[in-house]
Amino acid sequence: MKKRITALLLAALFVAALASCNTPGTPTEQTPWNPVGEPNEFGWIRPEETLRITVFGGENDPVRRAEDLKGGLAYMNAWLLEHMNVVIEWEVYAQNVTERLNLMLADGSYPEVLIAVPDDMANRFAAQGRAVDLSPYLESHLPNMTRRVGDYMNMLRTDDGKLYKLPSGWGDNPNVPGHDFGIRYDLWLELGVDEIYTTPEEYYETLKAILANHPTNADGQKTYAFTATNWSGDQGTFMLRAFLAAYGFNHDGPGAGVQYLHNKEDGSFRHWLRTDEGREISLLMNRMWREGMIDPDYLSTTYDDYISKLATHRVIGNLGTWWYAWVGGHEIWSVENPDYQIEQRFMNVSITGPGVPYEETRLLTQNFLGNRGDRVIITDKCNQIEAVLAFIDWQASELGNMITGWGPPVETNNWWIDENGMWVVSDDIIDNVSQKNIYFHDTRERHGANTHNIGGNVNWLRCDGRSVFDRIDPRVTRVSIFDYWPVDPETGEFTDPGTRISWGNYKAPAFDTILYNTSFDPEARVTQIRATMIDMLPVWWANIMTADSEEACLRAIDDSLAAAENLGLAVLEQFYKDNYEANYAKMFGN
Amino acid sequence: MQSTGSMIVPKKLKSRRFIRRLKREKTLWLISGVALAWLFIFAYVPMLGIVTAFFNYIPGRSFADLDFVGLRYFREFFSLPDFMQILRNTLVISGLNLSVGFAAPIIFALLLNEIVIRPFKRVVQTVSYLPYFVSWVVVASIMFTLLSANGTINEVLISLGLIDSVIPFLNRPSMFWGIMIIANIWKNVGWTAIIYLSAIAGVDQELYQAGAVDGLGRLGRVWHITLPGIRPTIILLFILGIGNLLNTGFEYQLLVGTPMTRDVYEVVDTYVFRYGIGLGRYSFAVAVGLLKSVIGFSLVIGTNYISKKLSDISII
Repeated sequence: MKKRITALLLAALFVAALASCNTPGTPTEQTPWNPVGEPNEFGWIRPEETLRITVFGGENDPVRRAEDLKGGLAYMNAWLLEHMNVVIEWEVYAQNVTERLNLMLADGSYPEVLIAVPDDMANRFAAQGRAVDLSPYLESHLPNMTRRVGDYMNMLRTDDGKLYKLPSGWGDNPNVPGHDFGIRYDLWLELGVDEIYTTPEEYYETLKAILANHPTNADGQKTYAFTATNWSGDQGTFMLRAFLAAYGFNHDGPGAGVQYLHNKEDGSFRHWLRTDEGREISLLMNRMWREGMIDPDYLSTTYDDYISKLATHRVIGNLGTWWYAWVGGHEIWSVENPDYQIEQRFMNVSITGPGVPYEETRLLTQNFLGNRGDRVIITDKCNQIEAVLAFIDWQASELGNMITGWGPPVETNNWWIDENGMWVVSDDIIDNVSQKNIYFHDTRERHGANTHNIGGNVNWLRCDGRSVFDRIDPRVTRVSIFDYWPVDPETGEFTDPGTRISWGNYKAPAFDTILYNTSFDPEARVTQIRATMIDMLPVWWANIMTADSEEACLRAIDDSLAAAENLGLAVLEQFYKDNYEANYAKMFGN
Repeated sequence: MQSTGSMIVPKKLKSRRFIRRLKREKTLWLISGVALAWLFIFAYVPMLGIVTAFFNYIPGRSFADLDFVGLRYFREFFSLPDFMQILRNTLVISGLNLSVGFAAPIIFALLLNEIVIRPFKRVVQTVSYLPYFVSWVVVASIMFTLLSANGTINEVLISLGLIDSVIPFLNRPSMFWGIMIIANIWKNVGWTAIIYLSAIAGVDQELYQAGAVDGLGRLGRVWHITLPGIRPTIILLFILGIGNLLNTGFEYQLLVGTPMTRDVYEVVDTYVFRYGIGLGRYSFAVAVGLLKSVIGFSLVIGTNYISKKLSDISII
């Protein structure tokens, strides 16, 4: 009897466990969106009843967000309620987004709108019927987004034409530099050279000359050309990627996981380990290592250490992202040094591989549908799809975009709308570009900038044939929700002389990597191959760059290539080829 | 009716005895009831999830909708290109933990027991188990501060003229295991020694007096009295410890490991973290976890059996 009862209990538990995974929700009854009245000064028809939207906002610290130290969240909540009669209820978690989304799928506890959703997770929601097909709503409820995203929207459609995901963090790259081959401008001036370097070899010679003039800093510590951070995405690979970009090597979309050369003639994709260019770059970096030009601690340097090494003049070059040198260079020196001269800054320079035109480099890339490859989805829990889309579309309108990104147009903020309808920016931010943290970022954050961005553009707000940002103050350019740069309205030149120095020698145009976007099914073999390749890159690169001799460096390249081929490199290269062709067909319909 | 030996005990009598015992021990059952309930809910019920190892699990889908894949993920684990390297690293690190790491608290407890100045003994003991409460993140930070190329150790060695150029402690594969074991011992020796100290406290003091009379010195008393006295504790902890042969943890490796030391730090746990959970391949992660548990359980049972045969000491 006891045994029967025990067996029954176990069976019941087992069945409960099997059945415990919930099934996709049935479509909820929809509440129509029919606000009455005329649009207000911000282009929004204020509904009588408060529109409440629940949104999953990705990975963030909920405690810190709730603390709202600068008061921006509360400010924007109040503004949205007063002027739009909209309340957005955010859910954020200090947890990896993919893990959280999988948990949400498992127990069905997800809100109406999910943003910052990785593309493969968005596909998973759609496959389980938990994401709403938005294609019937595009023309009627998303006219602004449809207009501004244009043909790029095709890239988000399924093979049968359905649209379950919207772009998140989309738009053109407003930056001047990307991968840069930076150098201390003041130390470069000392060399008395007329022309700036334009090739890897010239860069190497210039760095060597400066290090010879400045072998130590004022505290007697050895100086280096480069260092790196121990962040898992770097670990020295930024150095490699900068050079690969100069030679025209692509990466596989957001995250820049794997780098390869795309031969447009035969359509092949070749990993950098297979190429002569890859060897050339490796030998150059190995030479620099053997000559003591690279910080031996580069694998254990934190971001703060990196900035500190730049600020204390221990590192005189920069092969990473341009803002490291910005933040760790003159932004600190201009405050700390009473005798600061603008020449004391890092110059972000572009170079190319031998014979590679700038148009073929990948020094400055963008991904119009979002650099992180994230998506927005409306879930099957939403019973007010039209209202939610109306709000998302408002955020995609030009004025809505600016308000979402910079905060409302009030005179206590960085911008406002004058009597002529022009979007005027404050003189403070024009005059204090080297103190953006204080005059720009602090002010906009206090006014709720970017606290409620569901589906808006985060990049360049400009006139490009799809968007019309002709009301922005002509004294600034490259305006995005994060940044701006003062210019002379007549000449278009940067008004800040320091900015002119920093970027005067950066010539690479932005390259849209959208056709190289990839989405990876977690269970597919290519996903595991790619994940391993990404994890192994810092290892292979460390072995190659820190080899004791040129011969050892070449052997390390061969060993790494053999390891990559053993992992399935050829399968991955073929996948990229097929993926590119599929993207091309999707984008251009061929 | 059920039979016990030659005596037949009626079922009703058995259940009455059980109820009487329950009433007599109700306080004990009340105290342990909460813990048993917690164990049941959080340890036993989740075990049902091991079926995930045999399905291609996708969060959100019921098991009825999933493909049964049998032993696919187990086969996949064994056929990984780096399988032998991962296994080697795991066994080496666990082996070091089980040998050096296991002996260290015993030796420390024995040494601590020999200290006669009580205040000093208390201070040493307190200081020794404080690192147990320090998280691995802080430990990693300490390691970087001490052992990086511009760290304290290199600076001291260079200033003393003992070396000409920095030693890349954290980037040398040959040093990784040693440094890791030292960090592990530093972190855990004091806390684990508490168990041995309490066992040593249970040794009959008359034995020491008898030993002194027989001419045993300090070392002799430790070897012939203390160690045999705490032998059951040592064996029991070893049996429990051997079950963790494949559990090396992953915090230290992920925090302190660098690309240069990846060949020696990649263990089962770090691999599963990266390519199982990190990629959302939960079935694979569960399969490897199940494999580790089965192996660990078998080792515990096996070691327990051997111990019972050899020394009559066992946990089961």
